[in-house]
Amino acid sequence: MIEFMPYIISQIAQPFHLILLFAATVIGLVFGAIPGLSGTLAVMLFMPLTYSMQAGPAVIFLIALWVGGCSGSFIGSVLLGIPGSASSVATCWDGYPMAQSGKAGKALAIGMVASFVGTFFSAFFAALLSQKIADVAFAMGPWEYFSLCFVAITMVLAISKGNMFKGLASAAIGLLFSSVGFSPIDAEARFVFDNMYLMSGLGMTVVLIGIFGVARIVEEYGKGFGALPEVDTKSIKGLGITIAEIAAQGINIIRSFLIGLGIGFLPGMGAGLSNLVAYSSAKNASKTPEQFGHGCPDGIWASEVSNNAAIGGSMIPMAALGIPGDSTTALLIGALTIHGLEMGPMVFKNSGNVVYLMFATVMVCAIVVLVLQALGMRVFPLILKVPYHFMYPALIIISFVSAYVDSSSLYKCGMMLVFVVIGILMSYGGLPTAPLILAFILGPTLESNMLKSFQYSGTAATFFTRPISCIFMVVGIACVFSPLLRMVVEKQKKPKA
Amino acid sequence: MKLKRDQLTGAVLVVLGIVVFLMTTTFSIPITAAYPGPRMLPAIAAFGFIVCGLGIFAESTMSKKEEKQFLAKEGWIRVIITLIVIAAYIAGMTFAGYLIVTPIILYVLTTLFAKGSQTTVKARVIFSVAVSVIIYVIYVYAFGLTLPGGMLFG
Repeated sequence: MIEFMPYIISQIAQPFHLILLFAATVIGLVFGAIPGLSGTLAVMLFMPLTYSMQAGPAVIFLIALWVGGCSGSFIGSVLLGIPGSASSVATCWDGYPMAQSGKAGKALAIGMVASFVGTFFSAFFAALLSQKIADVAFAMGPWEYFSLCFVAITMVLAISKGNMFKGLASAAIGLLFSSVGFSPIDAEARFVFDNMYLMSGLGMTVVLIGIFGVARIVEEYGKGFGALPEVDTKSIKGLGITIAEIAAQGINIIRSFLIGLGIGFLPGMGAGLSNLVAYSSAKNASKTPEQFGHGCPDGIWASEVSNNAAIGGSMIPMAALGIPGDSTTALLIGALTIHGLEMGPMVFKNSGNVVYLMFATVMVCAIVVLVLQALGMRVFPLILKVPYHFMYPALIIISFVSAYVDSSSLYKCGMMLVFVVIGILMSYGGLPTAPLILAFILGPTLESNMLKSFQYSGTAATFFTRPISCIFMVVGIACVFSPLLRMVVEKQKKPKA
Repeated sequence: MKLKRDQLTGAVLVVLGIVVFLMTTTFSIPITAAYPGPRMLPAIAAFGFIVCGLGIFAESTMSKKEEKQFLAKEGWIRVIITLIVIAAYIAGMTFAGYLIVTPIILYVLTTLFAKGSQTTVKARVIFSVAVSVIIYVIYVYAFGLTLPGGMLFG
């Protein structure tokens, strides 16, 4: 790891790369703060900008967008009571009441410091652990990789609220989209309709921005924009937080950090779940649980430390196994592949310098975010006042420009419009998007490893005769049926109550 | 009887599943126990569509819950108008290129989206031109990428 330090310093210290890092962090913060947008969307929209870059600056730019997005999401939670993204849902429960009681500055300060602690130290642990896990991963064959991808997709189903069938249908759509173009190994043309643009498959930018980005904007417009939220900036005076207060949260911070790191590590999970688990753990462990939900600082600490710790947690399987921890890391894996970085155990041998640059960038971004938020404490709330009629048209234009840049072809813009319509129809049908994203990105890895497994062993039984693969398969199958089991258990409980 | 939204979703998924499955039968390499080949993944998707479609349809049929309206009629009109404007943007870029069409479309979109809120024509014009130029400068000059020049000028 130490041997890569000169490369890391030379990359991060370059003036242009520093500008990229600052710009991407600010963009990420803005996207993270505004409810409805997210760091994931920022990575999607600006990914094509990195096509002409070397791997180093591309990594710096994309990681800064991601970290900025994760760290900015608490601003909306604290000032509006609306989470910037799913990762800050639990922050609302105490952050907003605290802001309402005239302590917005303190709530924001806790969010900043907690985000920094979670992000910085989780990246440090990720840097320490990834190589070791990659070494273990060398013993894994296509059976294990197939079953890991299977688990990653099914875990999203297990935690998705509401209808299991809808989650599965969304994953099936993702698999169908990923099978367009020439198949792996056999090179059979599938669903291409003699169209040369479909031969190489559906582009990630076109599908994901269309469904996840533009479709949401058009739908929001269809529903009618509400009035701009009222933001209280008067109660923001100074940081309002002391070292003693931070030290008093020591156990809460460590517990939430470990929860975030652990949940981030699990394939398919991420910050969206970790903040909820950490919040309830903090509440259960508290001597004054009745204060939670009424502006208790412990709740903000727990939620913000854990959701940011999930960043480092999800980087471990991303780098060591090539398996995403959540939908943003799934995107990053796709984006880094374009730059010749095939994530997985071999990446440490082939491009170890770039992988460690990734971890270092997260740590530097954590510091930059802390400084920017501390300096811009009074300015950042203004982000929430940007009128929709200016913000959304600009995002639509950037989306279509991204589609064009993807292959220098307006055909892709037309294709994106089709996916916008599909996204609206999916929303009409109540189908969630997260399973689609994971299935679409993991589809090719899932399929090629499945086919390789059959080529080597000639039978499906091997998935269950190899111990690690068997465990993953059992967990994956359990995840598919877990919503059904949960429903049965809940129904059985009801008459007793 | 009025068809519920989820019933429609379920039915569409079943039909989609059948269509996808039929299309997979045209692939040259068959599925065997020893090697599933290129048919397997789309077949899994087709199977997923049919099972989930039936599940969603059945759940919706048995449920007595009232469905919330997705969009009002005016909302659908707004959605369709936006999609037409975007389609016009793509067609416009094909002929006239990015720099001419983008400010016009941005102005149209901001005007549409601003309905009911207080903005001036001047603010929208300045915004449309400024954003178009900023995007152009960033993509073309800062990152060395190309944007559509248009058939008329290419």
